[in-house]
This record gives sequence, structure tokens and C-alpha cells, in this order.
Amino acid sequence: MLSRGDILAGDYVIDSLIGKGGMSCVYRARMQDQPQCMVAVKELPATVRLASGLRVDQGISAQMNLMKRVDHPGIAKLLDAFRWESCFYLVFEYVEGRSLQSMVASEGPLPERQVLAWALELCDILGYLHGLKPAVVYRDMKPGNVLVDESGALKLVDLGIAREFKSASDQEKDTVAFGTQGYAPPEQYGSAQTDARADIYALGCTLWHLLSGFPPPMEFPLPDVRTVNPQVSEGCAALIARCTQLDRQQRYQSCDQLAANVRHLLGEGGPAARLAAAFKQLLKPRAQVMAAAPAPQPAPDLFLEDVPTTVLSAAQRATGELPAAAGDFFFVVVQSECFTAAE
Amino acid sequence: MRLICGGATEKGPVKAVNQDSYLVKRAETPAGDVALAVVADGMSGLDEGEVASAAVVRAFDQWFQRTLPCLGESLGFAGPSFAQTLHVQWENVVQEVNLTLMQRGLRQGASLGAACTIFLVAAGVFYVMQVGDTRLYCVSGGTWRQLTEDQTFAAREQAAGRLSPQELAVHPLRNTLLQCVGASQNLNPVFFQGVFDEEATYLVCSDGFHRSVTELEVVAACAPAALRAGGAVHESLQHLLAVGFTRGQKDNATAVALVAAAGEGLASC
Repeated sequence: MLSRGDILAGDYVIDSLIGKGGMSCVYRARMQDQPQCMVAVKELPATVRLASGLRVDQGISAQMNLMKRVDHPGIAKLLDAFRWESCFYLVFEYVEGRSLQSMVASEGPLPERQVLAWALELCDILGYLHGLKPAVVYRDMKPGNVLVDESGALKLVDLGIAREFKSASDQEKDTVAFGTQGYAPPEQYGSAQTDARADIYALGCTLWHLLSGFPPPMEFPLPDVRTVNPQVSEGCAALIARCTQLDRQQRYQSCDQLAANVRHLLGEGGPAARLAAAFKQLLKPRAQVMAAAPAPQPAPDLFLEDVPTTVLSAAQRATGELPAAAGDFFFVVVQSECFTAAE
Repeated sequence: MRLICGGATEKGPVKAVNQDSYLVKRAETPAGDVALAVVADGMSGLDEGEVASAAVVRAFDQWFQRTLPCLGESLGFAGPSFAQTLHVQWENVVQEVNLTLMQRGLRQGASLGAACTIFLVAAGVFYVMQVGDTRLYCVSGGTWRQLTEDQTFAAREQAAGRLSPQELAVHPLRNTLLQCVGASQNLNPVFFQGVFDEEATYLVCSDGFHRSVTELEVVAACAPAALRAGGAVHESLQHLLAVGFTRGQKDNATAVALVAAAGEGLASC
């Protein structure tokens, strides 16, 4: 174990111990040639067994190169990895902030709109990982692994490469009032291969935790979040329920799909705004697509609402009266017919 | 003006999935009925055609429910400003769906796409947006007239005079689209408008429909008088679809018909 002032591998000056778990320690350190640049250093004894089952000295090298290519503003970047003396060291971007776990522990159930906004960010982060070749399944989504930095943006920390194996006895220490807390989907406890939908399950559990104020119990299926916090909206509860379906086929199949429903609940981001942002990432901008509607509208999503719409004028909305006078605006959907074979 | 409208679709006896999707919406407004018809034909040569076509209809369903009311309230469903804003909104919707499908395809290593025709009637004017080879017809005076132009290799070559109809009939690229929603990096939908003929039936359909029926059959089943008298738009279209399948038509087939009601007092669909 290192101490304050120790110089690690000639490059990093240890500042303080900021975390300890199992056999590993996490330090805050400064780069020796750039003292203003802070990093987080995770120390893993070479003989420690990782979550993958392999020892650090057996299984870490191949993954290190892959993780160094991970480059997303919402993921604490792996800056360096090396062996020094009897330990492996992983140097990450240092994130000054507070974990979502800490926030919900001190403040209780968090506002739904804020939680949904975070859900969008997490969908973007996880979706990025799932889109890598080969795809990276995070497998440890929970409030404790998500930091809110000084700008309010989320940062995912502790990628799987550095995650230690937890024995059964260690897991029992997580027992809380509702039972053993669990963010992992049922398939992760068995021998089935996990895929991106395991992260979606865990994200649903994370949202459950943030909205209820309590860690999710390890019950299958997960109880409706409104049994703990009745203030949660029906739409949000349904979103969490779909994330945490026992049958992976019944969950959202991708972060994009989940994000579309989150946007629908938030009612944010009209087509023009999202299109402009997405084009920056993917395609050449289309100069001829102009700013559009007279008023911002919710983005289209993947779920068909076959609900007749009656739109009244502002005066009618205020009084609740039906359109009667000539000149009153009304828009009453009287026929709605749709066929699609897709889910 | 009151409108009568309805749609029908069939998977057919050969295809495993119906990759067509359609939408019919009608609303009563101070400007009379406003109706939207969308037919989207998922590309069977690509993956998950039904997902692509569904994305199109759902996007326009949301637009009709949430955006059009505000547009109508602001601009009154008529005039150059309404038309221009409508065009921009539809362009945005289609480009958004195109992008969403392309992103999905990139993540999944698949390619999804759909042809589509979007048709709106409001205050005596119709508006059309077209991608691919779904079509809009006008049925009146005992004939049917195609109002859209197919965005296909065959249509382009024929229009340019480079290939004869006989050559096109056997050309290996004859069924190739020049663009479709979800699989075109540079998507350029065609938009146009026209005066709504109250003595005509407008028919939006997929290629599985228009390739398998004759003009006479369509006129007989879809003439304005026929649809107004029976009021059974769905049954008339269903009959035409069945006729097509008896001829060995193998593709999914979809059609939506829209006609002005004869006058006040007639029940609409």
C-alpha cells in the first residue's frame, strides 16, 4: 500500500487514499510533470482474482489495450496501465464529484425528471460501449459507479477490467432491509451469456434505486417502484418494469430504444434539435433542413399511442368548455387506423 | 368538407411477415376534415423491413397527433406558410426516421429501409411526400392516374430513354430503389402539392398492390361513387387485394383510399 508523497513508477505522486475494496486501493495522485493534473490510480496486487475469474497477472493485459481505446466524455478514461513491483496499476482520469449513491443516500428519492435526464446520459454511455467492436457489456451499472462531476455531467467509473471477484461471503455483506440488493439480471447469476440487455436491466434497477431512495431488492421480478414511492409516474414505472423484465426478449433491446422512451416521457427535444446534434456525429450536416415548427414538440418515439386527440384553444382549456362559438379552434381526431407488424 | 377514408393490407400467402405498414388519421377542424394517409413498404431485400416501415408510420402518427394541431391553429391549415412549414416538418420527420434506422442498422450490423408515401388533405389542398416506389393515384373519370414518380432504377432509365420497357422488364436492377428511408445517407424526399379534386378518389399504395390489379378493377372498386354509396372503403380495398393474390401476387400489398363525402349528412367512416 502506498503513502502520501510516494512516487509511483517515476510518473505519479500519491496524494491520498480515496477508496479501498477487497485487496485493491484507489489513490488520488498528481502527474509528476504536470502537478495540476490529477488522476485516480487503482492498485491491484498481481495475485488478486478479477471478476472474470482470472488473476490480475493472467487476465488484465489483453483488456488494457481495449480499454485504452474507450473514449467517451461520460466514461472516466483509462490513461495508463502498467505493472510495477508486485502490483498492477490502472491510472484513470480523476473525476471530482459525488456518486449517485451518495446523493440518494443523503437526499432520499430524487426528482423524477432529473433521474430521467440522467437515464438519457447513461443510455448514451452504455450505448457507446455496446457499439464498440467487440461490444463491451459493463455489467456493473449501479449508483455507486456513476459520479456527477462539477459541471453536472455523469461519469461512469470502474470499468470491468479493474473489478475484483466477489466471493459469496463478500456479497452477503450487501444485505439491507429489503433483502440482498441486486442490480444484476437473473441471467448474470446463471451460466447464460450476458449481453447488452444485462446493462439495460441494471440501468432499470439503478433508476429504481434513485426514485425509491432504497437499493433494489434481489427479487425476481423487481417490485413496482411505486410500492416504495407512489409519486413516481405511471410512465416511468412502466419504463423501469420493461427494463427489468426477466425475459431479456421483453426488455428494451438497445439503449437507443430505451432512450427514445425516456425522451417521450421527458417530452423534450424536437426533431430538428436532435437531428442537428446527431448529424454532427454521424453524417454531413444538411444545410437545407431548416428550423421547423412554430412550437417545440415531443420527438417521435417507437411506441404508438392510438389515443384520440382533442386540442382546444387556450380559452377552452381554461374553462373546460367544448368548442361552440364560430372561430374557436379545435382539432378532434375522429378516425385512427394503423397497421404494423413490428413490435 | 368531409372525407371518407380507410385502408387495408395483406401479408399474402408467400411472405412470412407483412413488411408493409399503413396509417390513416382523420380529424375534424374549423377548416373541415383533415386527413393523413401513410403507406410504408419495408424493403424485403434488407433486414427487418417491418421495423423500418413501422418507424415511418409511427413517426407520422406522432406528428399528426402532436404537431399538426399547433400548426393548424397557428396557420389555419392553408396558405403558403402552412405548406412551407409542413414541408419542413415532414422533411425533419423523415430525416429523423432515416437517421434512427441507420443508427440502428450500424449498431446491429444490419440494413433497414422502407419506401413511403405520405399524403395529407387539408382545406381543399393535398400534400405529398414520396420516397421510393410506393405510389399515389388519382381515380376519376373512369381512369386512374399515377401522381407520384417511382424513385427506381427502372423509372430513371426509362425516363432518360436509356432502356426500353422490354429491356427493363428483364434487367437485373429493375426492382432496385434509388433511395429509401433508413438506408440512404443522402435522402432527398420529393414533396409536392395540388388542388384536391372532390370528385376523385386518392389511392396510396405499395407496389404489391398496384402491380397486381388492373385499372378497370381499381376504378370499379374505388370510384368516388362506389366508396360513397357503400361507405365500406376497407372492404373495397380488401377485395382488390384478394384479386391480386389470386393472380399469384407474392408480395405484401397495402392500399389506403381517400375521397370527399358527397355532402353534409353522409356518414363518414
